[in-house]
Amino acid sequence: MNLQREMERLEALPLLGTNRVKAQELMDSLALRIDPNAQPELALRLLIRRFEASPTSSTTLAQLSTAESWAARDGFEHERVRMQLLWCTSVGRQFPDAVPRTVLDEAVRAAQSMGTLEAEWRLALATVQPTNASTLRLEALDRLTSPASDSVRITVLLDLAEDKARGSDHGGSLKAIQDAVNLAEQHKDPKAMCESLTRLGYALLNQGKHDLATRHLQRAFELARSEENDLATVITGTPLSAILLERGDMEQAGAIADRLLISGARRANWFAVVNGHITRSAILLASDDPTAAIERLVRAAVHLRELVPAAAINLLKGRLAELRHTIGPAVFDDHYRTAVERHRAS
Amino acid sequence: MAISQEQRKKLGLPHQEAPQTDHDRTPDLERVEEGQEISADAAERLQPQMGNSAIQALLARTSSSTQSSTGTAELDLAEEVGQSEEEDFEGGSLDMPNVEMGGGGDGDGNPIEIAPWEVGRLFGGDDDAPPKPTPKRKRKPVNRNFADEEGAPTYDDEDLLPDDHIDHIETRLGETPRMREEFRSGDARYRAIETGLLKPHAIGRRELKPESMVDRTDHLDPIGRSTAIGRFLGVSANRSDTRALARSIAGPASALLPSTTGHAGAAARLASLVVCAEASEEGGIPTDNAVRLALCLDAWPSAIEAAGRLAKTGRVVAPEIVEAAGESLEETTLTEPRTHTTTEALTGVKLGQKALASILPESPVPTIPSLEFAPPPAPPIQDSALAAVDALLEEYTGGRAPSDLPQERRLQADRVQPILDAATALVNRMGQAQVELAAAAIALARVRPGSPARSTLVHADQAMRELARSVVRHGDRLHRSTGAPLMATNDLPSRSVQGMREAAAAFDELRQWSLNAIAEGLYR
Repeated sequence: MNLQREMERLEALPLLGTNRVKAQELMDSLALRIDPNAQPELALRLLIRRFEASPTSSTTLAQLSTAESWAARDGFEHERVRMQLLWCTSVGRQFPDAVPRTVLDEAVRAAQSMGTLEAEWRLALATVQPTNASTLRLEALDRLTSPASDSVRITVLLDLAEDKARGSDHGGSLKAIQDAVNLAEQHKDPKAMCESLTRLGYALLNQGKHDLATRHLQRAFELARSEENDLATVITGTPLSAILLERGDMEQAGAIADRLLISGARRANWFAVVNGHITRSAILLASDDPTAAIERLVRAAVHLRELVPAAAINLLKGRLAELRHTIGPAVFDDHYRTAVERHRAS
Repeated sequence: MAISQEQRKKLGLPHQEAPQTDHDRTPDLERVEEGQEISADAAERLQPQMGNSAIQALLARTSSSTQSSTGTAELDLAEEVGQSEEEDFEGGSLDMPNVEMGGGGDGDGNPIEIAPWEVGRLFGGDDDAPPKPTPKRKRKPVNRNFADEEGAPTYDDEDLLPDDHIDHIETRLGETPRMREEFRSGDARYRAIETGLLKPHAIGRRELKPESMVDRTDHLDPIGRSTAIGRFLGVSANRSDTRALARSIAGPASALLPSTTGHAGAAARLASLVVCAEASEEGGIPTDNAVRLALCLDAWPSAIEAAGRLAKTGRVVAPEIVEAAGESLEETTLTEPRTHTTTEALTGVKLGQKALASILPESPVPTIPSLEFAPPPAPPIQDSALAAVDALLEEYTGGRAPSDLPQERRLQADRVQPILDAATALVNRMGQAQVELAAAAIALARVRPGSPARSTLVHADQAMRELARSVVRHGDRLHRSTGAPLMATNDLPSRSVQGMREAAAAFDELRQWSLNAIAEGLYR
């Protein structure tokens, strides 16, 4: 297969799931075989695809601006404009006021006059025009028809969901997130699935739809665990353990609390660890074992002292004081003594 | 008029000359404009507006503040502002008197209850009735000294646990030791939430009541701090997933507050998610500092209080306000412009800029209205019979006789006054900006002691005073032109209005540039 055909194959591969892995391998292989002096256009196309595979990386962002200068110098107008638009979209999603408006406007005009890059210029413009963003994004979605651009579609759908929520169109927002979930599922991409399911779960929580939210959060939690993504594990596990605890599903709530202890400690999010201990203590209390409930908190306070922020220890102390108030000082003090003895014995 | 001249003195402006007759005024203005025999005083009075080049430079710097606003850039800015004035006055001494802003005095040194930056009436003759300052209700400044972030808010006593419970636990477990700094890695770097959790007495509550969650936004409350951070990040975070998570914290979503784990459990859960939200933003310590900046709500009241004390001395300027508030700032140690930064730092700085905007009052720059002359006289009537009847009617109804000369178009006082009022409001707004910059610097010093923001304040102060002088000079010219025939003033009134507008635009950019430069102190 010649390089041109391989490049076309690369550009047709969706950057999601197993296809993403294939695309990465192909990119590495092409990078070794394409000679930028002999085939500058192919080299530029490869750089663009590389950027699309990881648009948030500062390395690829820097590479893109270098490639843009190169394209401008060698007269590859289409590639140059495309890179400008991709760069503006990537930067503008996080820092809209850092996008140089003259560059963006010039790139949009060039794309419009060429009659190409219809989705790209709309997406770039949407980052700096918040009042017109949802219209531009919807129009862009209509033009992103190839499966190769499904990773971009997911990002656009999530951005669209935020636009809609800002305009109080919560139904529209949920639908956009659900579409993103469906696309991610279609490609079996765990990262995209976890991200979009988490967004869906939280959006439903905000609307008080706890049952529906739980289903999505549970799936997101499992994906986060399997991907060893501790941040996502804490984000999804925190509301989940609270909902399950309130429902009386102690076993599941306890399992999630245990996971919070691990993921929280790995990230040094000590509040997540404390939350795990408090949840575990509440489960023990609900199963009529106040001594164990107190012991859990005391053990945590003793083990974590000096290693974690004082604020985290204060939370444990506050919870112990609440328990003393709930079960009465005399009874609490008895249990406390037993708990301390058990702790010392262990 | 006492206040006018007194305030002028405080602004370092020349005393306003007595109104001239029309006959005297025009040649004088014309002569000076032609550049003949310019005395230092006259030169100062006619000091033109900051050149467009300086404004363009200001704009350019502001738009790329995160790349170039280092100490060197600040110096360049101040120098450019000064130079733009000097370039236009070769041969004339431009040594300006020491400019003082603010005051709020009645001319006899007695304080009046107006905002500390207000300069009273700037334009008008001594014969005018002195304006009576509208007495405002004296607001007791909110002086909650959270410099050490140890302050504790008051709580509803019914909600709190009796002290003996927590005292008992404290006795048993001992006082909570501080975490050692060397352990602050990973997500433990995000400490903004901790300020609300310093007292176990505030954490333990009798029960977790849903109704007590309504408007729980006290930034020193265990749950209120989380929701306050959520509110800030829900709008200002740079990443969309952070904003989505933060909105659930801001609610807070009821699912996060089950009664089974009590108030302490809810506080722990929200604190954990706040840390996750900051971590999602990926800014590291600058992000955390920015969040703390957004919660430094006492900075503005502290600046107001300090400015109020300084108003008696007429030195309501940012560097002195910061000192009067008991904070100290460092000079920048950078000698070379910093042109590159990391994405992580940029995230924090951008968030810091939004944080400063959130703790300062929203107050737009006043608009300078257009100057409108009285409409020109109606064209003569072509029909001679009709014109004769018209002339007759005009004479009988108390108008002019047909033999009278046509009336001259003059600059009328009621047309000028709105512009002079806007100019006064603009100078006052500049005074307010001094307090705002001071508040921003105070917040920065409280979040990150020893931050290098002093040079920013000093140069912003100098530039702002130049702009204030420029506005007052244009106002003076316009005021002196009042009543002058249109033919005599030429385009001087419209140039004055244009000058004021340019000063307003430059001021707006200067303020934004200064706030951006202060926000950069979060990572410098």
